[in-house]
This record gives sequence, C-alpha cells and structure tokens, in this order.
Amino acid sequence: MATRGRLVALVSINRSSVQLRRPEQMPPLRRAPGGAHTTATPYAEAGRLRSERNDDGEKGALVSTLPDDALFQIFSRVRASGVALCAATCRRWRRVVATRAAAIAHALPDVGYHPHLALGIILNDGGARRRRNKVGGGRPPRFIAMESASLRLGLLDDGLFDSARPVASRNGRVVLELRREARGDGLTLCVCNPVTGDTAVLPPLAGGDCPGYYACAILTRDDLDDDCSCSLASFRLLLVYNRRSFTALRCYSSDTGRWGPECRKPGDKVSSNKLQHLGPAAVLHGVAYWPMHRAVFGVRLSTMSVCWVPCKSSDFLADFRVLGVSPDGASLSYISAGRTSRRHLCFTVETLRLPRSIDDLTMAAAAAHRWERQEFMCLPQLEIPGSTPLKLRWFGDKSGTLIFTIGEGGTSGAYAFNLATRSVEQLVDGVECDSWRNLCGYEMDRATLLWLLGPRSNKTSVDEELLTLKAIISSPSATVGTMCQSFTKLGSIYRCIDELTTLPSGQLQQRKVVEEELDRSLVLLDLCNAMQESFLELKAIVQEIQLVLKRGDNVAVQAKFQSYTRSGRKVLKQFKKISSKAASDEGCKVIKLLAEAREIAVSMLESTMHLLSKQIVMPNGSKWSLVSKAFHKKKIVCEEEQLQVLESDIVDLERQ
Amino acid sequence: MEVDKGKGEAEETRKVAEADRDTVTLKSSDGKLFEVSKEAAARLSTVLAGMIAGGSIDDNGTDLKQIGSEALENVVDYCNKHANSIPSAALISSSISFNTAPFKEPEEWERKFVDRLSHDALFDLVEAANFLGMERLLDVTCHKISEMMKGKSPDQIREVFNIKNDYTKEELEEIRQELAWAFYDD
Repeated sequence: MATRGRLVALVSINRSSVQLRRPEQMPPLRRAPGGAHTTATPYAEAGRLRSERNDDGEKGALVSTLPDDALFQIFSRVRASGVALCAATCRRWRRVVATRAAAIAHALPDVGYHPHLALGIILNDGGARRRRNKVGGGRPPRFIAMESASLRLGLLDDGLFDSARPVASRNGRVVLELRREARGDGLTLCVCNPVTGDTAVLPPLAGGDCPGYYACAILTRDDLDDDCSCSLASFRLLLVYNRRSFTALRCYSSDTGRWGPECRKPGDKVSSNKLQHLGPAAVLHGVAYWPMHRAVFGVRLSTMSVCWVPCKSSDFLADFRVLGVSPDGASLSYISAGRTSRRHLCFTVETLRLPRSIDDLTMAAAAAHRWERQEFMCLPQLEIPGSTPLKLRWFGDKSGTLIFTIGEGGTSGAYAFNLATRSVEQLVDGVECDSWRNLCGYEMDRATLLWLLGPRSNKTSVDEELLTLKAIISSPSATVGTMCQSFTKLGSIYRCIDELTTLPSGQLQQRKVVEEELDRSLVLLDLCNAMQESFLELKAIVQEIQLVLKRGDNVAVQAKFQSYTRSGRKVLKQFKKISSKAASDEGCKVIKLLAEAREIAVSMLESTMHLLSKQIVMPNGSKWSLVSKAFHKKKIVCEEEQLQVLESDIVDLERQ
Repeated sequence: MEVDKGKGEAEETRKVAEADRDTVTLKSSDGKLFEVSKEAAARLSTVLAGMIAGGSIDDNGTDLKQIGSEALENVVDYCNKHANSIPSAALISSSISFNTAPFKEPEEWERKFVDRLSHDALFDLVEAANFLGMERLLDVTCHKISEMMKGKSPDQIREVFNIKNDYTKEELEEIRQELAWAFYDD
C-alpha cells in the first residue's frame, strides 16, 4: 500500500508541474536553484518521453506515446475485428495495424469462419481443350466477385497471366499455371496475392522434371510448423503427379526459392484418371489432404511422408465432395453434396479431429472411426433434378465458403454457399458444369485484410511526396516551422518505403546495390545521431542564454550567442563531408526511392541548421530565444521519430 | 524521501562488499535508485541480461534514462514478486523460447499486479517492459490492455484511452464502410 500511495503522489506531482509550466511558458530551469551548469547537460533531457507528453498537456493521452512495438503487442491479442476497430480509432493505430498486418494476423488468436474474407472466383474458361499444348495468346483468368465482397480485383489483366489457369487457391494466395510459349517450355507456376499484387514466378519444371497431370496444394506460413524459422510471407507448394511407374511428390519452398527433390510415393501408383480429378486440397497441421475413392490421402510437407485416412462414407462421386477444415482449425471436414427426397440440394459435413503428428498409417486408420457427422444443411432454394450435373469446386476454410457449379445450359450457374451464415449466392449463370475446369474460389487471408486498412501506398505517391518536399526545401520562404512539418512528412515517406520493402514483390535480388544503399543509410543514421547531439548542445546554450537574459547580463549574452553560432557552424561542416557522395543510378525502384529520400533527409537537415543559425543571429531580446527553443524541442522529437523509422527501415533491408 | 535515504545507505554498504553482488542497481530517468536481484533481472529482461553479461552494469546505478521512476518501481516490484512466486516449469521454459511459445494466461498474482495500476502507470509499464525486453511483463500488460479494448466500439476505445480522433468526417465514413465486417462480426 505504501508504494502505491507514493506512486499516486508522484503522478500528481507530475501533473501539477505540467499545469504550472504550460500557461506561463516557464523554463524548467527555474526550478533548479543551483544554476545552469548542473542542469544544462544533455542529460537534462533524460525524461524526454515524459516531457513530450507534458507538452501535449492532455491528461491520460499516454497511450498515444506507446511505441509501435508495444502497440503491436496489444493488437496481436485482440480478435481480428477488434484490431480493425482499433485501426478505426486514430491514424497512427491504423498505420501500425497496416504496416504490421502480417505479423499481427499471424499472432491473432481467433478462430472460426470469417465470411467477409471470401471475394469470389477466379476462372479461365478460354481454350478449354488441349490448352496444355497451346501456343500463343489467350485470355487472362477472369475474376468474378461475390455480391457481398468488400472489394473487386482488377488485377490479373497483366500480360503475364494471358491464358494462365488457376490451379490452386488458399488463404489469400492463388497458384496460376502460366502459358507455355513452346512445347518444350515445361511447367511454370506462379503464386500471387491478387489483392496486394505480390507475385512470385517459380522456376519452371522443364524436360524430365515436367509433370503431366498434377494436383497442386499451397501451404502458407500459418500452415507451417511454428518453430520453422521462415518469414511470414513464405509458402510451400506441393505437386502430386505420375511418373511411368510411380506417383511422385515434389515440394517448392519460397525460402530456398527452389524445388525440392522428387519423392516417390510409397505404395501403388495413383491412377492418372483419379489424379486428374483430385481437385483442391485441404491443409491441416502442415499436411495436405485430398479426397480419394475410399480414403483421404495426406502428404506431410516437412517429411514428405504419406498417410491414408479411411473415409466413413465412400460412396460419393468425386464431384460431390470436397475437403475442408473445421472452424476451430483442429479437424478435417468432409463436405459432401446430396439431394433430399424433394430434390433440394443439401450438404453434409463430417469432421475428424486429427492429432498434430499424423505420419503413421496405423494411427490414421485408427482415427477413421471417429468421423463425426456435424451438420446437415438443406438449400430449399436450389432444386436439383436427378440428371443435373453438380460439382463441388472449392472450399475456403478461412471464410467457410463453398463454391459449386450446377447444371448445363440456361439453368446453370456457379454458386457460393457460406457454411457459417448459410447464405447462397449465384455468382454467374450459364456455366457449363463439365467444361469449366479451371475454377478456384478466392478468399483473402487476414493479413491482407489488415493490410487493406493501410494507405494503399504505391511508388508513385511516394515519388510525388518526395518532389513536394524537395520544393519546400529549395523555396526561399522556408522557416523552422515548415521544416518541422517536412520532417514529419519525411518520416511518413520512410514508413511508406518501409512498407514497400516489406512487400515480397520488391524481391531485392541485387544484393550488392542493397548493401551499398544500406551503407549510405548508415551514414545518414550517424548524421542523425550527430545532429541530435548538436541539437541538444544548442538547446543547452539556448537555455543558458535565457538564464543570462533574465539576469540582464549583456556581455554574457553576447558570449553565449557566439558560442551558439560557433557550434552551429561546426555542425554544418559535417554536411560537407557527406554531400560529396553521389547516389548510384542503378538498382530497383525501391532502392532509388530510398536513395532519394536519404538525399532529401540530408539536405533537410542541412537547411534546418542554416535556418537555426540565422535565427539566432538577431539578438533582439528574450522572445527570439524562447521561440527558437520551442522549435528545438519540436525538431528533436521529429528527429527522433525519423531516426526510429530509419532504423526499422534498415533492419528490414537487412532481413532481405 | 525516507525510502530513498534507505536506498542510499544500502548503496553505501554495497560498495564496501563490492566483490560479488547479487543485485543490480537501476537508476530511473529522474535519478532514483532501485535494487533488483541480478538473477531475476537476467531471467526476465533480455536487455538487462545482455548488460549483465556484457559487464555494462554500473555499481552506482545503471542509467535507464527512458524509464521514469514510477514505471521502474513497478518493474522492480514485478521482478521481485516474480522471484518470490515459485515460477512454474512452464514459465521458465517459455521464457527461453518466448517468441515461438504461445501466450500463457497471466497467473493470479500477475493479474492482480496489473489490475491495481492506473492507466497511465500501465502504459508506462508497457513502455518500460518493451524497452527492457521483458517479454513476460509485456505479455501480461498488453494482455490487460487488450482486455480493456475487447468488445468496445472505436468511440469507446477513444474514450477509455483518451485518444484524439484525428480522422475527418469523410474518412470516418469511409472507414465505417471499409470496416463494416468488423462492426458486424459476432
């Protein structure tokens, strides 16, 4: 209790000192009777964060001074919807959420289906037959949005994707098979996030490596083991295909950027016909599962081992079933379609809770009897006569959306059904159920959803902002005030660049260029440090000046002013050393932006120093020094911010 | 003041027996001194562990200029309580590989520890824990704050944390539309 009392007392003292100081613009020095020499060291600023807050003057506004790291820690403990609401409270929180979207999404504890993640379907119905050998142009895949979708995808119109066909889609990523220019080209797959535009083209599997028909599964970071040390953007791709005498498995890892060795699936070869109709995979605990005739076929990525889990109901046609994951993310769901006696479409969901390590065939077999029938859902709005073709296409286990196509000719359509809300939506009509092969649903991952909260920073906007900054610096009417604003702006520009560098699309292959730029950034960082020190020094002098002014000692004032200009000049000298270095013109866009921002930062610091030293040359009373002192304070804050951003920037770069 | 004097005396005696200290002295931004057991400090804070290992601990009080005395007092209080409470095996193992281990619910005493803090003190403590690399304390405090946010609308969050709304009206409307899913999600 005693400590608590003391604590409260301390807090209140702090508060009262705030209130005292603000209205009278009283310098803190007044409270130190000993004089200038003891307090005018740089360490007088020790409680910097606190004094910043005091300047704010707002009681309890402390949360706004929490560092981004701490905010991140807080955000990753509320649910996804909670994070979004936090982002809606103020700009800074929104920025923190958006810039750390991937990490927050990864740490978020919540489970369950989130229907708003589903966006629609991606399909390529052009050139249905013999497409694999087709040479020449074709249409890019189409995106058909759901009515309820929160955004429309305009991407994929890129020339790269002409006649590409979607082969898999999970958790925000789509795997597309790119067009083959020539017969011998082999298989080129591309993994992209159509919302953020991140795209990775995988090395082609050509010649002897090229598979025939194949089934493909994509695993994202959330599917991989927690102890794997890969980045949040990494993914794995698993192919299952047939060789002459066996079924082969092959895995691509985005961390190594390479295809692993071809593994031979133990046991019998899967018939090519079955392989063609494997459809989408469900992924649970790092294992990709496909429904087969009487069992579910699973491949564990980390060991490339295979397991079979017998199904309870094995009498369903391949088109009438799809595998998914239960909302709690712990069970495999087997979703099968059927007709009620009134010919209404209905779905049955059975789940099987699987342990985390299911390598063993016997274990899997033992688990088989534990399939539990969870739900039976009837859709009276959809009547299916006995002869109507029906095909379950895809299941998104983050949104709980099931995509299926019904019928032929005029009465047909592609539908989305949500298991959580039980709502059905017709996406498109006139579907030829059997000829539409290349169709995938698409749902965002949570990281993308949070990323969308951020300013859709693109490189052009950063460019523009840099240009305006340049204009501000070179304009003759620049004052210390505008400089302060510019520093804040520069900080936000750095943040934008920061975001750009974290996007995998900016895959920085030119290591050398990156490192060179990194070195130069370090120079800037040193400069920032030096500037900070000299600001503190100047501030100390200003404080002394104020004290001397109060005493009315004119001679001392003169001396102090001289020392101020002297140290100002000293700082300016440092710039000369740096300005001689020119930036290189090569390198990718992001690096160029970085270099530009760095140059601007240097010139901004320089002109600020010029301005400051000019300001103090006019010694007409205490007013000036008070003003410039206030500016100092602000500037140091900006500086600090910028410094932090720079640091994080550099850390990011190092990681790549 | 008495407490500080006591601290000062303790400091004197410590100087005499300089050889093997089992505590470290920490100095807050406003110059107050706090003692904490070396073992607990090294176990709970990665930064202090690094300083102890690197020999950059000052016998006269290691300067922690970023941390105010209230926050540091809470940090020290937490360390001492943590040292006293019998640390469960799970907690020890999790403090080794904290980045990968899922968050463990705060224990009863930890809950009480953060519950008694005012908002300001809590945020200060978050900052201090973040600065000192005290994963567990950061976990516990952030957990508390996230609990305070749960089930609240943006307006309510702003009110609780006294955040200034810096969005324009148009932006707010835009956000409302963009985040419709968050407003209606369960």
